[in-house]
Amino acid sequence: MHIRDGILSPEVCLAAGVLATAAVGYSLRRMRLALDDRAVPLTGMMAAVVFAGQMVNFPLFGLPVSGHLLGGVLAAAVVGPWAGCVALSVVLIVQAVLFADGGLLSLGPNILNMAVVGCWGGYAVFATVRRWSGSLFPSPGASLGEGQGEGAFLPLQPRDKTTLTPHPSPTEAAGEGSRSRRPAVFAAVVAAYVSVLAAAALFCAEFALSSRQAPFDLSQLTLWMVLYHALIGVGEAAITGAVLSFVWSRRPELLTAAEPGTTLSRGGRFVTAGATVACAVAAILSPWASSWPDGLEAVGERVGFNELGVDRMLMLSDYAVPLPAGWEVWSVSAAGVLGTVVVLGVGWLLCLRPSAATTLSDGQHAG
Amino acid sequence: MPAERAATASNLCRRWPSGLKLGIALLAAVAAGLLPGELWPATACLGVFALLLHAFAGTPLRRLVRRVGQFLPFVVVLSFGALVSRPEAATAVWSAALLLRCLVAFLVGLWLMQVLTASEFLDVLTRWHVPAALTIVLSFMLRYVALLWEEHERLLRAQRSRAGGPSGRWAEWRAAIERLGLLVLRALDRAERVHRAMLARGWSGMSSPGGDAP
Repeated sequence: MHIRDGILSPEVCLAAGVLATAAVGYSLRRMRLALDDRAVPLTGMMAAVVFAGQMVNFPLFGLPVSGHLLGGVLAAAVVGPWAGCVALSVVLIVQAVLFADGGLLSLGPNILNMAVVGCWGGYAVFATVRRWSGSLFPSPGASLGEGQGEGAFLPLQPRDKTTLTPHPSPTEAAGEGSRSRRPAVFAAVVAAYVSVLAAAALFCAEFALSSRQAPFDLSQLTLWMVLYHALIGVGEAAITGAVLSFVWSRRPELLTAAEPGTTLSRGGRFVTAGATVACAVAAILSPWASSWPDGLEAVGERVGFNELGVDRMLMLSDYAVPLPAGWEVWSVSAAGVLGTVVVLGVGWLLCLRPSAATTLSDGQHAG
Repeated sequence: MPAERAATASNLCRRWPSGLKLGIALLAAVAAGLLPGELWPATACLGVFALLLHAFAGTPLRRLVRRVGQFLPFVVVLSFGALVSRPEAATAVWSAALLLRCLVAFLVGLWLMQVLTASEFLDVLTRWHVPAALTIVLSFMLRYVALLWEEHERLLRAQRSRAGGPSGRWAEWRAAIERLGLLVLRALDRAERVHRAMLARGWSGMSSPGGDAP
């Protein structure tokens, strides 16, 4: 997954570096607010675990090679998205500078793809799927309540400020653990898989932007990237799920504490999860969308009213960004991502207006 | 340590200022990225410069060849994938340029790994005004990663000593999961102990002006 120097153009690396810096800066701020004086030991130790964990090799069935953990979703599930993002970033920095694993110039794209998408996006998908999958895994005698949904697999949040981990009674912890273990592990598996695919899609977009003058068909490279990472994603999902399940079975109390302030808000979680999945789908699948006419167009062709409409040339006509000849696949892919981002932006703006009005009316009432 | 590093060995480049070493590596990586494919001789000159740096650093040839051998497959697949996609002369030039660019940048990164120690890197980051929170977390990680890896090795030895270790892929998988899970558990426990010790020594979080590393 580590991008080497020379693969992406310096401009793309710079742009990704700016985005990654902003994201890590924001994560640092949120991490310090949430964890206070515990931020250093917790994040540093998680970074050390991910670093060491990446060297534990897992045999791949039927293949003469081995795989290893990437750790984005694992870190986010254990210590939260903010500390997880910082931990992963630190790991990537050390790997690039002190171990020549991943490029120096490509540090920005690597942090963006693996730490930010892996932890922020992965955690958002994890939390959303976990909430939705609660009904898929009904536990005997207990349903997944609101508090449990928020609480389990949430980071080592102390109930008193002097210790890192909460200490519920073993019975209490085991009870809570058995209630929410399966949805949480299932969600971690899904999140790990999606985060790998999203990182691969982001790399494809970065590579496309870097190779605008490339004299070859980028869609085939994308296809291979997606196929390859679909396999890597299975391994990452299996390892993440198995490790979390193991930790949960041994020490559920480490993973069953809640402090909503440290996590993404419900709306933010939904939006980030949606954006991660939508961008992955839009970037990867839109070039392979069917070129057959949709229902209305098919009827229009039969009845003959299609000619009545006048096509206007817009920027994204026929779901394609205007790019040079030979770039059709990438233009569709870019249009997919652009459209997704625009729709999310419009949705966000629409959501802002009523809340502003509500705040104003509340203020008037209060006054 | 998880991976052997040669930065502790004495060589000519070790005496250079650490900021200069990091700056040279960054500049070389940027230059390799900026040079267009048509100017491949310039990229090749940069490669010669990188090899010269390795000669100064006294990198053993065997290690150089082994690391380049580990690095090459991904870039070769990427560049030859392009060639397979459209077998034309222009694509061949593009593929060769990509391969050369990546190789030069990798050689420079490898040189940096040979000559820059972790403490020097932390010093450079502090002098370059990188946020203290990040450098403290970084130093914490560097301090404890070796310890965790030793624990991993102990777990591995214990697993192998039991009836000769796991046999079969499935058993190996389960053993690896167990090792990783135990590593997570022990790391979290250690974080708690270290946090208590830090509090006992007057640690008040990252806002402390001294930035005292744990």
